[in-house]
Amino acid sequence: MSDPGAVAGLPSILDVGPAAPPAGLHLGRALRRTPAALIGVVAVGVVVLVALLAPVLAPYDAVAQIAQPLLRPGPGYLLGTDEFGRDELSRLIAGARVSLYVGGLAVLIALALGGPSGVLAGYHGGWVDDVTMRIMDVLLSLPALVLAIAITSVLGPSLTNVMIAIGIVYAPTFARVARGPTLAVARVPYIEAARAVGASSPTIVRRHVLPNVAAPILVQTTVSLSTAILTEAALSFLGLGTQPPTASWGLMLSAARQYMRLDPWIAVLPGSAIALTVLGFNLLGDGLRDLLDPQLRSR
Amino acid sequence: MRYLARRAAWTVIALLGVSVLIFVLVRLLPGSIVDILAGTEGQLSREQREQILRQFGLDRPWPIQYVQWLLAMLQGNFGWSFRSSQPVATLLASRLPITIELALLSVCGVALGGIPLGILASVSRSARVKTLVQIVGLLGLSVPNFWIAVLLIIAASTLAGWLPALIYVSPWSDPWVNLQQMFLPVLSLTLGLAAVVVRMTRSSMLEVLSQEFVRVARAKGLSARVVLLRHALANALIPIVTVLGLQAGYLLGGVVITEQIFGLPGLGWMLLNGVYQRDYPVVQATVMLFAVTFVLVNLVVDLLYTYLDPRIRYE
Amino acid sequence: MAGGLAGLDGLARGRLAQAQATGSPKPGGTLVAAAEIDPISLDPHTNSNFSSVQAYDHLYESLTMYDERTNIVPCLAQSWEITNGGKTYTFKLRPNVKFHNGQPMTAEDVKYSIDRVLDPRTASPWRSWLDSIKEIKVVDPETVQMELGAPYPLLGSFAGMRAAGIIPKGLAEKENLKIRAIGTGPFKLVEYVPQDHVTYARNPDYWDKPLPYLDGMVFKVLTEENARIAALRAGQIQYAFLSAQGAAQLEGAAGITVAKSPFAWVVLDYVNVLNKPLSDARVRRGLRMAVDTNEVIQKAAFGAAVPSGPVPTGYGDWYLEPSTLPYLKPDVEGARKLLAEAGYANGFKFEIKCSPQYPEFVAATLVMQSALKKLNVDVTVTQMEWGAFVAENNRSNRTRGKEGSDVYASANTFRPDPDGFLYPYFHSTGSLNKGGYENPQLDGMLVEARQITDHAERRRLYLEAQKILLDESVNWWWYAKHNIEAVSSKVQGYAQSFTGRRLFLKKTWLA
Repeated sequence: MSDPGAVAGLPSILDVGPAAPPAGLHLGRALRRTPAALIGVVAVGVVVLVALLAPVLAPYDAVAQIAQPLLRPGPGYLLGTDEFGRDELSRLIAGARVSLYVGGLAVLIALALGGPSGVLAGYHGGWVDDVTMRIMDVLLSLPALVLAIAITSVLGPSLTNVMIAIGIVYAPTFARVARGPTLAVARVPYIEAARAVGASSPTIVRRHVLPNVAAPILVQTTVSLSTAILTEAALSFLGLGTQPPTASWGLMLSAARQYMRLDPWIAVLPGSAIALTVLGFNLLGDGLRDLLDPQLRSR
Repeated sequence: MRYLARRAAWTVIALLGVSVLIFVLVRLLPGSIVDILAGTEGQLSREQREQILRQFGLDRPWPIQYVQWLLAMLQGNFGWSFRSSQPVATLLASRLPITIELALLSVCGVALGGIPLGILASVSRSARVKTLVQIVGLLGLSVPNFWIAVLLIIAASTLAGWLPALIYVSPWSDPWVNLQQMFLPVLSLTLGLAAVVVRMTRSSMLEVLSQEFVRVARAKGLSARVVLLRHALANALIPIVTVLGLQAGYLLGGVVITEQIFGLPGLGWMLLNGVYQRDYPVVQATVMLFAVTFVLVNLVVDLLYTYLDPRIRYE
Repeated sequence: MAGGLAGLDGLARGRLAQAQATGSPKPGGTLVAAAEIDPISLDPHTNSNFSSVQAYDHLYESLTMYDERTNIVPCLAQSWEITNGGKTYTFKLRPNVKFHNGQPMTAEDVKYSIDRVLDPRTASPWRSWLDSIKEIKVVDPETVQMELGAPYPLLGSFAGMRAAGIIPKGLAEKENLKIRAIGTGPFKLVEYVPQDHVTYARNPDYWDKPLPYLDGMVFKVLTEENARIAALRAGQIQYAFLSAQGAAQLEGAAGITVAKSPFAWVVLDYVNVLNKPLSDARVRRGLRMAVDTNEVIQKAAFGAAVPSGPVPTGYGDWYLEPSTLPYLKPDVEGARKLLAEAGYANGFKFEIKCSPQYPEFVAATLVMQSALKKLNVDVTVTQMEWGAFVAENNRSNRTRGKEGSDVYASANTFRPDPDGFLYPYFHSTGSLNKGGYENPQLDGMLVEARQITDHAERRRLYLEAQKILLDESVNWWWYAKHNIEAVSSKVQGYAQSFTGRRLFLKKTWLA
């Protein structure tokens, strides 16, 4: 299972001051400079598009057992059929939805739980910081996979519960990412002075903290999206992720292990789909970091 | 000094939190050791079920079970496995070295593979090289690790007709066989995790390379390589070390699937089985071990961080 | 039907490797093998896992055992007498049998072992196979007498080995039997590292000379089938149990032989007959009828199975011939009629629980789910982690179906007597009656069949009972899958067992 502690990149704490200027202008130039990021954007774009258009694109029902099992790609079933005789192409398309759904919701939960915690910890410092970060440490020091298994077993097996489990497991990472820049901002004399004279905290957070936190959080989001997809695959491997007959790439890949030599297609296809998507999100994340990190922008 | 004391106090509280969390979580799992023993085909009467529960001390109220466990653990008694009746301490001691070896070798592999690639990606002038390195580095991260593991096994046996000896041999008794046994699992983990270090090295180097003192050094006329190695890399190492530390901590807890597929009798696999078989003492003790290790590694890394970068101060 | 019925005729009934035996047995060598699941514990009396028996089979023995044709033959008991209307068993023990520690085996050890199983404090999950025994008497060091409360086919209980291993008197109090073993079996235990491997060494004092031929065996736990296949190919192991898909993947590998034979592994669905609408036999029949048994065999067992009734196909003469089984061909129209008759023309919803621990059962469930769509019946498939699944199962058992899910997908492993496939599940007071089924007529038949000894009459009763169960579709029985084992060509003399236990490694040698 992938490392939920993958921190996107420690942001520079030297970047302080009023809200940073928008980065949109640099987008086009930056994309041309880093082809990797462009590949990422395209890959993610394709996957998102497929997921959105899934009901229209899929030629058959992804869970219907309609044909001979293990057919090779051919007329009628463009990418062949799987071990139950379900259309592989339709399952791949449906899988895009599931992957994005799982990843998206899980990351949303992680963000909702971890982001505010991190900001809270960094802003208030002192014991609030200690308590919050120790809670995060508690969550982090439990082996992630075991925590996910425990949560899924307790809550019951379902896609939603898988997302909740993954979300909880990823929350500490978001807390850490949010805490760093918040801490730095809160320490700046200008800000300390403002708080001392009673400037409203929410305003300070909104105007000064959030813009500095936004970039690293955004980058972490793309990274976590990619690892969430891999985590779902790992959980499906253990039978605790997506429930059959729902098509998820992770489940398809796991089921394909028994048929490796008999029909490599049913492994290669979901495996490539996962690789493409995860790679895409990672490249996108790297590109975003290059773009948004003010330190690098000044070159 | 005051910082250390405060940190230590909070660490203890965090560990207590972990102990409560795992104690409760494992008991919330549906079913218990009684169900595992009965299986789906065996028949146990109600008296027998209650008797088994009593035998394992599971009939007492939770707070009492918790306190008894905690007190025993603080005295070094980790209890007995429900499944095999062996002392948990023995089980931990026999499996810990395997997981540590796996983790250490993987961290080395990741560092040896990831750092040079990351440096390359950061200093290369060719956009093509940069892109290629990024993609290659990230490819390993892009595929589920169980898949990499299975592919490696199949590749080894089909292409090379080779698989290492199946029964684990410790590096002290036969280093060569041990290395063979570790090769594929370490490779599978390295491929999966190298990307994180590649990315970290790359961004860290980029950050450092653009900073004032590097430009000053180059203006002074120091050769590019000296600048690179001495100043840039040294400074870039800080976050890299952080990430490696996190990896080590994670590896000690997260290599479950790798151990299962390669049949390595490590802690991760024992923990997973413990969860499946509702072997509370094993699960609780192993998780506490991970937690302590993780927290210690974190502490060391944080201290290292402070030491290496005096700009960060902890009040 | 590929596999299915045609497969049954084509199976070599356990004659693996004897046709290719080159030369006579030679002693020596260590067999390295892969186990697909961890044995969990080596205690022969206290746990219910099949993987356990497979592991301690080489270490412990009982009064009787099975031969290659699954006939009951003498083992530690050389002969026996059944008197008093089937209520008294007198066993004459084999002389000069030694335990692994050199101690001679006597009647005292037999009494101690069986008493331990019967002792409620031991909490043996298979106690019911022996609990007809009310008293055990040591007549002399080589004679044991057992008094039963009511007649019962006891010989099978010993051969079945789920709770019948003979251990030295007092051993359970001295040793941790979960990881240590002292028995009379062909192999001694060298070490058991839980979740990793079991190492055996030849027992030089074994009573059945000159067996065993092997110097030792190592069973390494490899749960990932691809790892087992790879190890076979690379020559690191010489034996592995495989799924049909695994065997197909091994096709063409040099130096490896794959054997198939009938197996007492019946994949089925336990149906709760208390929950509506499954309480209506027409509904149950209709649902079963709509599913193509052959499709289930193809997709869940990859063709390597035969249709089966409650007693697995191939078991002595206690089973119903597959070609005579109902529901062989799907009949969707007939199913629709039945459902309409019962008032469910518009379909309904119900739930099937299964566990990813056994993907085979999940697959069978998915085939059923897909087929039932034609009847507007919506099946919710709930995959549960194994411990949770077992807990649910046990809850249903304890409450006889009053609390519990609609359907559980599972399997039955070997039972030493057809009674074991029927009585606990379908007698109204059966302890495994998780479906809550009550049929006084069947009750009477089952009780009678257990108590008489006339084989022909017993057979008649059991076949009749099975027909009733199939007619009312109390459970849904799918198939009995094949026992597929792969051995290296170096391995000679190995025979498969219908029980699925690796009973004949003691007769195996390495070329």
